[in-house]
Amino acid sequence: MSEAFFTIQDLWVRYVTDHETVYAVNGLSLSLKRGQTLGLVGETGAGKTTTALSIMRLLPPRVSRVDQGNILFNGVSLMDLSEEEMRRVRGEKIAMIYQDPMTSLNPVMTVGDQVQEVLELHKKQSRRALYKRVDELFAMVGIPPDRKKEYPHQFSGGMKQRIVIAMALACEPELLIADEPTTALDVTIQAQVLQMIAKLKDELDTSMLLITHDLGVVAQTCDMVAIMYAGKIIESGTVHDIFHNKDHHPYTEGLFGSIPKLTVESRRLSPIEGLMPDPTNLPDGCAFAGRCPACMPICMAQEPDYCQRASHAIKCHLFTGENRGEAV
Amino acid sequence: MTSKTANWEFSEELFEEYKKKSQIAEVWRRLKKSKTAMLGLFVLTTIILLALFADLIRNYQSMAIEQNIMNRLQSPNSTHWFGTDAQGRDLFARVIHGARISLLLGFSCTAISVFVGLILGSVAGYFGGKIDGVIMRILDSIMSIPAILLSLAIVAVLGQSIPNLIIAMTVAYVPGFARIVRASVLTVIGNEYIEAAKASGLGTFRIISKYVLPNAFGPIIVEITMSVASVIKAVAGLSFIGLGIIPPTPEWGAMLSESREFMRYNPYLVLYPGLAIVLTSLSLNLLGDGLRDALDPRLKD
Amino acid sequence: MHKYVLKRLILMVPIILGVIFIVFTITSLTPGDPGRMMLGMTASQEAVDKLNEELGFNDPYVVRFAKYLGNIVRGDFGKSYKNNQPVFDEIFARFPTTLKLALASITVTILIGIPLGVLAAVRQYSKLDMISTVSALFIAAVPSFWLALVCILAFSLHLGWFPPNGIGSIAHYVMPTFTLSVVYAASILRMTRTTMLESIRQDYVRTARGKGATPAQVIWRHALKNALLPVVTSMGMSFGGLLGGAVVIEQVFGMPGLGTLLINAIKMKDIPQVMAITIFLATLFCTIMLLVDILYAFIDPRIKARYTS
Repeated sequence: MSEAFFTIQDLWVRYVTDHETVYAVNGLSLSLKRGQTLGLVGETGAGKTTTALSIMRLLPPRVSRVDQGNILFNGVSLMDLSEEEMRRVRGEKIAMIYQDPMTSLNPVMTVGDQVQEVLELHKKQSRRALYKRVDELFAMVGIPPDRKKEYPHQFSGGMKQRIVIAMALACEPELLIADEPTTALDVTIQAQVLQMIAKLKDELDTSMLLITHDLGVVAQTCDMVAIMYAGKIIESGTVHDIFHNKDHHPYTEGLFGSIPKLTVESRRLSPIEGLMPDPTNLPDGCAFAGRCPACMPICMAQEPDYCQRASHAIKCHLFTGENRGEAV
Repeated sequence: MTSKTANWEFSEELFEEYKKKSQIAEVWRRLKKSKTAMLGLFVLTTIILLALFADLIRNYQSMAIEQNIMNRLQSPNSTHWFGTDAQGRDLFARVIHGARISLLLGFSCTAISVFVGLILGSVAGYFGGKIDGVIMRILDSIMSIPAILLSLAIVAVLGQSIPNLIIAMTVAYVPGFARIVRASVLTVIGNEYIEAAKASGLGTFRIISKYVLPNAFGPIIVEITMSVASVIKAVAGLSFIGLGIIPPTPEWGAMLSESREFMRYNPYLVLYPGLAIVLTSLSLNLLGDGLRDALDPRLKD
Repeated sequence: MHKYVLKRLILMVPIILGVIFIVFTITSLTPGDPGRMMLGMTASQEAVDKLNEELGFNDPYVVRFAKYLGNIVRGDFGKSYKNNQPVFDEIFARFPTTLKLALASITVTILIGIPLGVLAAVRQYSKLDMISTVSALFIAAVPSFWLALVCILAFSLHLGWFPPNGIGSIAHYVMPTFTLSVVYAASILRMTRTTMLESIRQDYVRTARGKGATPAQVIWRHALKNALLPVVTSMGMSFGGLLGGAVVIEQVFGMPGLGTLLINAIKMKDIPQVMAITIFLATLFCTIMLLVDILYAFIDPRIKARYTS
């Protein structure tokens, strides 16, 4: 139970076009235990979606290159599967909820057919059982089953995302990847949808990789947290590690500084200065060095290793080597 | 106050000018990257040059028009590059002089169609309501008559001559351009900056020419290249069935029609005029395709 | 849905009226003398004048147009100057040939254009894509009547595979159908390729793949249906072009269809016949476009919704 059933080891992904090469994921590793939820946190452009699509092996063909790394799922390397074997993993063992429900549903198919399609692809069953299961799924995500004959354009954004969720959970996958499932939705229904995902995930005993840039969401729903910056995990640990430990990567500190705290009286938010480094031209050394308030000479020259303390890992020179202890 | 406004307008115009220039440069830069578009441009330029200097290359009267029965049906050789036809006329001379007529008709019909289409389309789109309704119904009616039938009917009624042919073609090609213009007017018209321009008292004509037409520029330029090719083919078709350009004027379609009975033993007679049509319209299509991609690079990877 | 069809049918009326108006106006500009055409060169001027007066050719334009419309409503399109028979007799006699040619051509167009377009898009930059797009580009530049000539030269005169003219057997239709359809197939291919390329980049296609759908399902079920919309419209438009193209192609292959009838009527200045054929073909084209619109609504529920609500 406590063994990690899903791991990513040292994943490197580039996008190569005529004009430039974008280094999207640069040596990312993470692991997930059965039944747990891992929050993958980072800014836009940190490589979160690329990571998700790498797991599904749905990266855009031709332009994307997976240079290195391995993705192990139940001890099997997803990278080594044939396209046909991978096809049977998608939707059945690993399913994904996408960022934008407005565009992720096929506009010319009824929503019922789209949910039904997943079942048809992976679960052989009688017509009757099939229809019954589709109705159940609709009821499960809170949509009246008689609306299954309608088309996506007849639903609101939140409703569409519920349909996408129904589709993702149809085969009760072992791993659910939710890629910023609420970003495109109204603030008022974000919490609703998120709670529903968390609840269903528990009911179905599914593990989840939740991609988000919202630390509040992480605190509510996740067991583990990995913070991603410029294609790397720069800090990871349990929710307790991230939210309650004293030591943090300066970037994490920055992230916390940029959300309002109810407990602390503060006049204004302190957003992180500067921008993420250009992914076509990453700096030597630590990628965050240019924005880091605690930047040291070594940060510019050498990439830090992880400093591991129990479940908590931080990739920063402040906590490694001779600098250890200087940290505040 | 007055000087201030004038000043503001001046700089804005300058900015617009600059933007336009850099846009054209950008489109040209992308167009240059497309080998096929450049090939099309090269072939088209060659054909245009041949047509322009046709008189210097081969004399119109003595080579392309006057019959010379002694020389009839000669296969291609060093004096008659494309051979001679049943009347003993030099086929090369007739093909390059034919290019003149085809290009002239192609470009003039398209130019007039664009002009009329611009007026009708912008009026329909800008004023909307009844005016739009009437114009669009008429254009729809025209479009529901297959183009070649319409041209046929017009030529049949007005009589066969180059001006009448131009009228016949223009009527058939106006609706396409008018629709493009109207569509771009409609996409632009709801925007706030048009409201602002109206509020600031800018005249209708200026609003259309300054804000609306630049938006239609891309699709129109693509449509122009395609329409020139299409007119050339249509004229050839009409002439081929004897309702376009009348022989002995050297027109490619008419030449093909004249050659039919001799083609079995002189296939070059149908080869060269046909290839002339194909090359001309191919070069225009290649250019048009390249322009479309250059204007809208989204489709490329 | 019935309401939508009805609405579209009603919308067709002003268009057909417009067509009649345009055709009538164009032909009323004819300098010819109808009485003289019907009675021939030998008739006396008085007789010609009398006939012109009787048939109302001397009435003002508006009166004549109203009369013509009135007659059309009663199903009377006038008589041919040539043989004094109702013009539609001849049209109905000739129409089957043209219809067969047009239907065969549009079928071949679809069967070649769409599958190849899809394959070219799915294997973008592959050899198949290169070959089919380049040849489509080339073929789109070829005038169909020239292709017809080349085919006759090669397959009739030299190889003797197909008869060069006539309509006696299926073999007679092979070359006309081929020459007429290949040009439109090329343009449908290019269009399908473009819309497919756009459609396979959409998020819902990724969703379908994420579900574990097979490549065939992703392409034919998810991507193609969305990509088809513009293609269907363009196919309707092609059908109009095809009807026009048939006029020329019939001429090349000596097929006694509507096109041949039209061209002869034009050459003989048989105005009622010309008008009737043009109006007939335009109405046919409008009907096709109506069918296309209905098909459109079947493919795209969003459009259906717009009309039914």
